[in-house]
Amino acid sequence: MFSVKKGLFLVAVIFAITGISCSKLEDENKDPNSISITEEHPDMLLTHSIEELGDLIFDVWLGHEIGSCWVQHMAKVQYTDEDRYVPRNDVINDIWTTLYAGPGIEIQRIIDIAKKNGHDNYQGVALVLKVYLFSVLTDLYGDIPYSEAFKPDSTLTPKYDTQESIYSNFMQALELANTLLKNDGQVVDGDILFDGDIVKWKRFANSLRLRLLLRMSNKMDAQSLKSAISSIVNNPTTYPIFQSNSDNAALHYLGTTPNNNPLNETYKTRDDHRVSKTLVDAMYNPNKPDHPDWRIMVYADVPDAGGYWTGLPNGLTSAKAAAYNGNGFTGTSRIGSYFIQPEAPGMFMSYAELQFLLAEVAYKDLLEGVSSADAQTFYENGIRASYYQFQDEILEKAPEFYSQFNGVVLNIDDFINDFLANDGAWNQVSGLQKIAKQKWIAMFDQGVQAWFEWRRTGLPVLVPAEDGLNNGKIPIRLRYPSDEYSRNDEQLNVALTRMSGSDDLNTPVWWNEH
Amino acid sequence: MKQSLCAVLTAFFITLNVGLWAQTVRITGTVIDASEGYPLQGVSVTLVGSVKGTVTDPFGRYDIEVPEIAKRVRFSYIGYKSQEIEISGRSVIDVELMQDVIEVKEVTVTALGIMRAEKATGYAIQSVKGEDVIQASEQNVVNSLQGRIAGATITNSSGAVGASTRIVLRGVNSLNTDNQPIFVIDNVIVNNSNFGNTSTEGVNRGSGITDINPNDIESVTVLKGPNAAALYGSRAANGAILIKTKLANANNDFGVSFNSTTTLERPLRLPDFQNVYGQGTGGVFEFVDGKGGGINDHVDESWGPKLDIGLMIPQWNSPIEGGIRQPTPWVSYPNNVKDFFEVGKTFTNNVAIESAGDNYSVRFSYTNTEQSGMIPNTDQSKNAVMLNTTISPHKYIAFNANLSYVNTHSGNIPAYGYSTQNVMEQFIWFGRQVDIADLKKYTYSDGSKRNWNYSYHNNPYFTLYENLNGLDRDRVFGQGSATVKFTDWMNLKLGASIDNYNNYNTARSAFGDIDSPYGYYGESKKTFRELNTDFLLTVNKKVSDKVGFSFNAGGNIMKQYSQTLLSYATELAVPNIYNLQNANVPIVSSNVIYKKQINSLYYNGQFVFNNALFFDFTGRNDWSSTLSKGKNSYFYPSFNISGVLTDLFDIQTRTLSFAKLRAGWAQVGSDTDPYQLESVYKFDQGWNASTKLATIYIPDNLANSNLKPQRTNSLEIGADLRFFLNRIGIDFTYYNQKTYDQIINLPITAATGYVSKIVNAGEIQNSGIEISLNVVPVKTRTGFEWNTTINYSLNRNVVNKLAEGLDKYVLGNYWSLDVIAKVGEPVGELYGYDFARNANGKIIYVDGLPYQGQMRSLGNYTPDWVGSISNEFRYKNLSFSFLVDMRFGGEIYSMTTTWGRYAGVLKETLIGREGGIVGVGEMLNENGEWVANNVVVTAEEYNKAAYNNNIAYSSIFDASFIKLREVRIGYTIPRLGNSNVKNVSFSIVGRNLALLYTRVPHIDPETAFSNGNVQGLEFGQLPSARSVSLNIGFKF
Repeated sequence: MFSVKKGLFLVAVIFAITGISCSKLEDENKDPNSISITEEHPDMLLTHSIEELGDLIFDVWLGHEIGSCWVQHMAKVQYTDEDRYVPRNDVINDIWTTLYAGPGIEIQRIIDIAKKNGHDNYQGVALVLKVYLFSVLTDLYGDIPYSEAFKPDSTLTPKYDTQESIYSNFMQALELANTLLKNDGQVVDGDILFDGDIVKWKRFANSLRLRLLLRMSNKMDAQSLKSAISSIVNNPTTYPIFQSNSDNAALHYLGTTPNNNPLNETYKTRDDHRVSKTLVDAMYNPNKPDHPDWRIMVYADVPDAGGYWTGLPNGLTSAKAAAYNGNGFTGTSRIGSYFIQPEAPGMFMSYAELQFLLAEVAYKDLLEGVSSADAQTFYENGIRASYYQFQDEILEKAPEFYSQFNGVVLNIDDFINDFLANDGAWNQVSGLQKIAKQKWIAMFDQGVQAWFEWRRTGLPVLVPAEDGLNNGKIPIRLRYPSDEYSRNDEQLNVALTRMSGSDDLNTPVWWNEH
Repeated sequence: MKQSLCAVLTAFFITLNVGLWAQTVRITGTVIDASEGYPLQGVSVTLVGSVKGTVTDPFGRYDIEVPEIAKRVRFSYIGYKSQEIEISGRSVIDVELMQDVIEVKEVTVTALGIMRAEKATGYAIQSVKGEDVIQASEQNVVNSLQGRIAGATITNSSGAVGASTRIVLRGVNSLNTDNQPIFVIDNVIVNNSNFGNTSTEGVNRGSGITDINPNDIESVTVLKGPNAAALYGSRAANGAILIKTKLANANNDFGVSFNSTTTLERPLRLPDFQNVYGQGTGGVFEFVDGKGGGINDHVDESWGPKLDIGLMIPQWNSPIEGGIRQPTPWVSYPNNVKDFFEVGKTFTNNVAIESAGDNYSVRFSYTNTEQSGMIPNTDQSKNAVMLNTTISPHKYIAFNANLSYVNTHSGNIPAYGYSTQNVMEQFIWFGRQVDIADLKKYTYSDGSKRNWNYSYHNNPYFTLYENLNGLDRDRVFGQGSATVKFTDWMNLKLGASIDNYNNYNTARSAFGDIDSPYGYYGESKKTFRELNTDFLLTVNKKVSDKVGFSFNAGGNIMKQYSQTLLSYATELAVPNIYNLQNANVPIVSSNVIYKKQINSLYYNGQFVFNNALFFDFTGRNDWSSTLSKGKNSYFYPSFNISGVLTDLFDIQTRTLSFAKLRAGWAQVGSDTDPYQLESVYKFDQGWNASTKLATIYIPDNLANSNLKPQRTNSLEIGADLRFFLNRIGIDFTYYNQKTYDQIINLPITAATGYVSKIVNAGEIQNSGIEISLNVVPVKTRTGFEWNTTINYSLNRNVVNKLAEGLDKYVLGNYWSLDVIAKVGEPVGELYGYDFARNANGKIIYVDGLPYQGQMRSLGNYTPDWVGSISNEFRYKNLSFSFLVDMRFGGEIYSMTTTWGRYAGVLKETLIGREGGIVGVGEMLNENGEWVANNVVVTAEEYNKAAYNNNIAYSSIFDASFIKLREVRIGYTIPRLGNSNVKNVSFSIVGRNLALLYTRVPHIDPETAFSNGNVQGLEFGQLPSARSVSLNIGFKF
């Protein structure tokens, strides 16, 4: 009745129904959830990499706990470890990992795609972003993998390039970007920084180049520095730079998650920061209450407990911070609401910063056709630009704090003029200090770059945190991430040997050595 | 390989068509239980003096061809006295077997459900009776195996409703899988992976095996190593647990049985809190707004003013008069945490209706379970239906189908881990003066939140009554098969099995939540389906009087498919409406499809010599969709040999009743998860919900198009010795297994653009012994009997190598503590920060305080040995038993100690509160020499310096424990008077009753952070339960 043949036939039928074939097996393993890496989507990568770059640089951990606290724009009122110069290991790992394996490789991929397709504008945009990203990385850590980075197929242990060679490459890359970027109708999509405006990218490329030229100015002889700066600033047709605040490289965050400002996201559930006493004291003198640096109204709230702006000293122990001025929480100024709103911009580089850099250049006689006395013009331009940046908020806040403004039609220029006539007044003798102080104030909320600039100039003079745990010094570098010790230690050791100092927060990077 | 295997099989089938064997006669018959009269399935029927044999079908029927000259047939069965019967020319022999509780079982279930004489198995097998599983009254069947299986490490994660349990046999083999065995329920393979990820979702939603209804279990058989499990393929590399469900065994028209269990639970252990000092820091506290407005009123620590000495202080619940919060008595509430817990209650009711006749057998069972947890407002209910049927309309064919449907529903499951949503976290940061009873009212009349602290915590009742984690899961699993008998020595089984579930999770937070001030709502839905199609050809032939041969050849196609849809909104527009359309921010959605297929062909065979020497071989070839082309076909064999010395050499005596030696070698190849061969972009959330710009990113893990299978090689030798007419039995096993070519995510520098690369690398070795000792110290004619079972297992795990240049591999981490695999050490090193130490190894003190030093190995979670002792006393219908189990060696990190000491809530923080503390260690004196530290610091300063996130060393403890796992008293009545009511049983069972020995303070050291390889961490797990249950059952 039953036979082996019948049985085998049954087996065959059942297996034919369910399907058994080796070629089909491979189709099963085609990931239906993702796009193949072989496809080209530079626009979607561009949006993502700009957002992620902003999210890291303006995030509370790097931007504020490290940047803003160490440069004494802000101070921590609880969990004060970072403010006492004890950055967390996982944060140090995260910064490195996110920059390289996040926007880093994505920007590199845009460059590769654009090169292959001859899309100059995408390539130019991506080159500017790449230089920006790597300048943050190298200024944080010193020597880093650069020339051999992003080549997992050929090397899993890329060598560390010297910061000097990396900076030299930055100059070439930005020169190339300036050449590639042409307002010729070739469209760049997905650009959330300048909305595809190629001219603005070009201005950013050259302004960034000036920032980086100055950053390594200690390591260049005056003449080549001067000619490098002059060749840019004095050739605006070939090398356009920022012309006003509307050129600012600012990421305009949106009103809702996940596209809101990262500080806004943090502040939904936390309240760990106050404005630094150093900054409040520099902007508001209780003895001259009617002539403050008016930006203080935007930068800082008044304490819950009442009274005028009061800063919190940096790097107190948690107990001292909580007890400061009666009660650290209620007795000191919170960060102004402007900076923790969802739409608060992430400032990659501002026109004001550029003006202060040019003021320094003029003052040091590093720009052909301009004399030291011209520094004042750039200096005042910088202050003006910074005030304009916050003009709506200044005009809105003024009547709240000063009753004489109630019902009066206000003009931002009046505030600027008042400031320039008082604390902001130019002084040729202490010009460098003046410029540095105003640049420092203008770069509030740009903690990382403000800290880099302070490291370069040593100005304004900052007193290390009272309860700091870094041998009485303000850190001038981050340690290499612990991940690198286990994943790329051979190459890391080459770099450590080369950098004369040990791997700590007090080891100067190349441009910071004297 | 595939082609050649196919050729071999075809050739084999052709050969089988040729009649090879000598003149025979056929004997048929039925085997029934002598006292109950029901048919016995799986009785081995063998020809005396030869290896010729068969087993009975579900109706107790057998059909055997014997040589004309054959004289006697032997019938033997688990728990029954064997019988030898003269054939005397008969062609029908019906047999009644007598139960014999002492005789060691003769037949056991092996891989693929093949019944086999236990003396003919070449590897270690251990079984647990269904009765033990049912009476343990555990919702999770894995828990009921605790202390009953040598070589198993079973870790219950917590006492929360529906919590998962991890089981590992013979140690951690693999870095990339969870190392748990597979569960095979009537030929349906289910794994024990978690529903939802406990470590990221913060809620333990149970694991695969929680859906198995203990009431339907007939027996549990554990195949411990790859030796036993080679035939289940890749997934059985960590062993297999075979669960056989009950079949009808009613010999009349039908029978009904009823079983009811009520379980009550309380926490086994809560931290020892201090009750002398209240909330605050530096000894001061005054409440204004609970978030920094008053003196230290944001602080969630208990370093505040002394309690119960008549102080009056404004507190969170003090009345406000004229806008001023009035001082109220500052007093302690010693039971404020204990009182928070409720009595957990579980009610399980099971009814089974069964019927069996000459050619059919049907069993239907329905179980309802209603559970409310020890944590307020947590619950789980389950409804399970099971149908087991066998029909044999013709003597040459039988159909079998099992189908289970389970619905699991929870209105709320408590959160887990170090999260503000976990109430245990809150009690470790607590004001010891807080009156928990007064927190039950968690809103003011204006709707604002009422709490003792507004900086860091929710009111715990708010968390549990407003932030709900719901669960609803429908699961269907079962199998159907047809067995065609071509001849009495060859049959073909065709079957298919399915495991299908829809798991629907919801999570919500109300407005005013500390993490999500504008509420939160999320849903995830996962559909999972595994379909297996099988054939199995069985041949059982005698070659000569002395030599027998059996052979199985089969094929399997396994297809897995899952689809997960996740959506959530991090802010809501309107409070208390939990609908995704109520989102105030763009909804985040994602869906993931997962597909995997493995095709397999396999065989196993046994040669038998003189019914005393057995040689087994297996082979399997898998084709997996997840491995690289050219490397996705892999073959793995196994060989076993076993000999019954007492039979071979005829040395059976009253002293040595039975002696068997066995040895085997096996290999298993394993694949991995899909989609790891090719690099991709993944989608991110995009920019600007209204004019959306899509965003993509490059994932951190670098794909590898050259992945090959991971392999495990295992050697096992063992002995089974029984003495004094089986009054003493000892089973000893030694094994040594290596897993190499592990598929791991090798960490690489981010400068490559990736954080890890998937590679084949590394080797882990496990070697150890398992001893199982059964003794019947007393057995009297009056019906008294005492049984003792001792299980002992010792496993030595070592990481032989990782990838080139890699000596540490991070399995996972939590805060500053890493759980790693380190070359030369067992898997599971707890790697964290020690105190700073000087050259003498002494802790360095500066200004009287220690500080963070280097990261190093602080311990390892792997136990040295695991053991258990159970004793059962029976007198006629009355039984009493107790089970003690223990685990020695291994360490655990306790977050309860870390933060509980930092926050000053634990009892030991009372030390030095008045006089200060001088830490043990050394400091530098003025001359720069090391001297003993003599600086007095406050207890608060000391505890905060020595116990915090930066220093893990101070909270690492020896995890050894001895537990009174179970005490059971039972009474059974075979028949109630002259009525139809039979098998009436009552039992009272206490589980997890006492920690007899532990060196870990405050917590139950038996706790799991997740179901994966990251173990040895306690991060505020909910306390385990001590339970008492009452079981009642009867049949009619």
